[in-house]
Amino acid sequence: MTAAGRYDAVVIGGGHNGLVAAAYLARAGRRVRVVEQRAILGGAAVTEEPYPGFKYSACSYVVSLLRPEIIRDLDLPRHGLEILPLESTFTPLPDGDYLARWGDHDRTRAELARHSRRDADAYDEFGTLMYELAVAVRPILAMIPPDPTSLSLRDLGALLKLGRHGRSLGARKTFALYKLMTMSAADYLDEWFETEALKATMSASGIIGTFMGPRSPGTAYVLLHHYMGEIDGVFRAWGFQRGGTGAVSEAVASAARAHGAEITTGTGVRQVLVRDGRARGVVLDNGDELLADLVFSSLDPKRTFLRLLDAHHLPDDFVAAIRRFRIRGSSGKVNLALAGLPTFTGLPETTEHLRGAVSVSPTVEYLERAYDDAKYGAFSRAPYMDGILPSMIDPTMAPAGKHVMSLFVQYAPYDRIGGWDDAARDAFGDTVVRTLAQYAPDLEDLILHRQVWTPADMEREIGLTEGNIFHGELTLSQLFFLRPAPAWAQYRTPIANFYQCGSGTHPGGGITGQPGRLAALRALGKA
Amino acid sequence: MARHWDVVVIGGGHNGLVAGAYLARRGLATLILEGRETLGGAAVTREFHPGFSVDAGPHSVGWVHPDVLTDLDLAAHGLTWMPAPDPPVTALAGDGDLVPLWADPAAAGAELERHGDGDAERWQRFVAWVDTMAAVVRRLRDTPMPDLPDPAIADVPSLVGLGLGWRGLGKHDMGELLRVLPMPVAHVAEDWLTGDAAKGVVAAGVLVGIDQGPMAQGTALPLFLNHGGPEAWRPVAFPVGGLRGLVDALASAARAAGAEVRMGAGVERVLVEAGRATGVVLADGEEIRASRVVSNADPRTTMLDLVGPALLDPDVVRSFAHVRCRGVAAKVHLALERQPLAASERCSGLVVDAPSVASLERAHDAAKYGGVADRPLVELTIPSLRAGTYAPEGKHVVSALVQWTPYALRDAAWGDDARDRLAASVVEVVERLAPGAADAVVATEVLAPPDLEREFGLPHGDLYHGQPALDQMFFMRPVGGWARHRSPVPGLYFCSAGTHPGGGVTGAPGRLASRAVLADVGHGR
Repeated sequence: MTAAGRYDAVVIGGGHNGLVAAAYLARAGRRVRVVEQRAILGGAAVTEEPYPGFKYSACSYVVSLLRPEIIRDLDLPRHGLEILPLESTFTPLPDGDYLARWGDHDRTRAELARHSRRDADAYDEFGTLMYELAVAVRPILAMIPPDPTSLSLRDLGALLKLGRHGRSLGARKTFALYKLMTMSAADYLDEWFETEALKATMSASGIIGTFMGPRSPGTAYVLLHHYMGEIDGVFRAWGFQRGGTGAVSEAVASAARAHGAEITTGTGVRQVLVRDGRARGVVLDNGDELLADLVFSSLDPKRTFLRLLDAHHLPDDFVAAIRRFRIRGSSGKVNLALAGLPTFTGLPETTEHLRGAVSVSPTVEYLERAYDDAKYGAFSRAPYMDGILPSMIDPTMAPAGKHVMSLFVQYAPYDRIGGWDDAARDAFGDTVVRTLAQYAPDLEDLILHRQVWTPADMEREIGLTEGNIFHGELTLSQLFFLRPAPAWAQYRTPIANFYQCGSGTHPGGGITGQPGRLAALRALGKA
Repeated sequence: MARHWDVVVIGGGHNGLVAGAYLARRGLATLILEGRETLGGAAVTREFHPGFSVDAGPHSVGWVHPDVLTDLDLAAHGLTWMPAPDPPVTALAGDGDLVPLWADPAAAGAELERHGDGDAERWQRFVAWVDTMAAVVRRLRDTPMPDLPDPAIADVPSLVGLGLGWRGLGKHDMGELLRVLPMPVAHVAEDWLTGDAAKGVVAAGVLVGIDQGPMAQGTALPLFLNHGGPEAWRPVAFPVGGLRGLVDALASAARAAGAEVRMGAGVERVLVEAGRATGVVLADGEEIRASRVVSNADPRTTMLDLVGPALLDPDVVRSFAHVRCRGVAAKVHLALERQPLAASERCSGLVVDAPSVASLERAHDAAKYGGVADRPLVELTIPSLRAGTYAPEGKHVVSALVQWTPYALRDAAWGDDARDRLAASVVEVVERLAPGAADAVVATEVLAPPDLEREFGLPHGDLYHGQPALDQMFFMRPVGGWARHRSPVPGLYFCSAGTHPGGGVTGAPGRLASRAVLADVGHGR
């Protein structure tokens, strides 16, 4: 082994969180090196071109909650960040009708009223409450979780601050927020709406990336995320990145480089060097050693602690906690290259609904049954899917006149009975296409290429353990000061100078950049 | 002139009796009104076939609040307990093996080892761990909920007590407790145990009456909350004389304390005058005046039916209307003309047919879509093995809880077919315990959720007067802001299982409700 370099900080993994951490560290004047094992940066936030001219946001396909402070601090628009709005959500229905929510408020209201006048009224009131609650939650997502088991001044102070925040919300919002945290999306929405397709499509946002159904307690909370995007609307934090999601990673990488970070691809990290309980650097797959004062891992907790480190460096309790950390992958991805636009039976005369999301979520029961299949180890026979046509928003994503469609699909359990071989992948792809074709009969004839990602593919290609897109389930037992383990939710680890900065830490998955930012700030002593 | 009471209690269920007894003991003129001709509400022992009787609601007692037993001196009022059943719970494994979970964890573990390598030791560690966690959680059920998000000074001592109890766990277990409280019971079982038999029986124990499968978050909570004390991972006790033995003692205690109990006096509505509860109106129009009204009806019914939406703020109406009451369990009672099984010493308590976590989840799946699974969860007990009062000499009674049975079936009403199928599911389990027992069945009674609603006033057949889900427990029970047993109508209180700390035959809500009333009386409110 040779010492190939010496840095203030080495960041393992060039996913968006690793890059954000690196950018913040570099911005603070640290000499930083990012090590990415794949040939391209971005981790799950990548744009790939598997068929000439057709570009896919291979895994993560919408930018959800990229924090405005990160966009600002790293000056990301200057580095190429440009998020284009997804203007509508279109839910085709089996009877040939549809439900749409448009960018325009009055138009949405009229459309909802077509299904239920009561729901049209409730929708505004619901939106107002969600907006208020999103404002209430925002500071919690932006803070390093205090450790309630600690008696340190810093933790007690943060707890006190949290308590004051709770008091300032008042009773109405406190109880509403608590219900949102603990209820199922279906039960919560039942309190407001009666239109099945509306409840189903809204509750679908609560199941994305989780191994839960719309009736599982704990799924209501994610309803807020949609509205959080709206708060940050000025920054266009919710939508589609021009050039695909990979361009978000490129923008962050560009910002990091501008501050002096070195980023290398094509070689991964084999091991974290630990001596006397302190991280000293990393060993690369090629045997090179990089020495560093600080080491960050943006990999998921299982990879970070069970693969990059010898267990004897860690306390037994901690290893046990990481082993039982739940990270079950539940979703797949199907990317289609299309010769033209599919025609949805419900709305044949226009294509404007194809500029937004297409959600296959006709009823709550449909989603729940999809979940039932997965619980017992099968992919859903009739899956939920959320599709977008990036080429409708950004024409550079496909050759002229042609299109790409990216479909996020649930459920596809990592632990499929019989495993995920080529035949299973094909069968899954067939099911997805067939399901969507029920609403757009010309779809199958338009398909030029089909790329199918199973959870096993995501694990193998991208390094997501069990194919979990959030680096660990977002359940109550694995959130905030419990993510990824009690007492270790502040980005530090039992090994001095070794930090975790991936989605397996607070506030979790999605392209938020927040774990990377908070980890860097904590290590820099700025938070 | 009609008498003016200090307190009128609506409903002589066990919590109403507990509240009434406590209040009368403190010198308040207390009247308990019961619409039926029997007390106890769902806690009732009655005949279902000539010569055969059964506990028609709950068929065992988990934990009764220890203060209720001593404060009301129930022993002096005739309450005695059957010898503690051992085994308290017997699991029926998927292969038909009977697995007695003896009270001694080492002995129970040894049995479980047959179905999961390592469970002998794992079971003992699991039981000890549940003890540790439950010791803290149990304090929650003794503590009135604080006024959140802005606790009053008066709440501080109990909150500090809770906090110290939690701190006493030590750093590791403090974090653990926070982590496990909202977990699915399936995950807790999987983290601690190996065999399907062990995992299934643990999950089944916390799911009684709950409209969730074991894989849902929040289902582990009862494991800690309903905990019985050292090594009793699932408390099971039987009063002499059945549930009626307990109810009779409560009624006797209430009367001895000076409370008057009137039967056949169903309350039609709560009188509200100038924004304050001033009494009740009976079904026959009789008005009874009281300074305070305590309702043992579930909070949703109390607010929406007995008070009525017209007098309430729309937000209050909305939040009480949203209390989820879901009946998911049915009772099936069988009269058998001979000894149903040879291995009776291994079935002294509850026998649980829950072969695996997945089988429970599938049983719940069926109910999500308005059906009943082919193999539902069956928890049965054979009271006639313990006492001679349930059936004629040499004959037996089986009492079974069956889940999940939706309140409203999707494809049919609760007609004879659906009932027969439920009964057949129970007979199948009994047949597995004792081949040939099916031929001994001479009478069957099935109480589906609508029957439980009709007979016992359980809202939608919900055994708990409101589901004990995370969002409806503690400071959210029955709804946020009204978890301190005082209703939004001054002078009207809740004492039902729909309030903190929740359901089961515990007397705990009645006890806390009486404390709220007494505190207000003391303050002249």
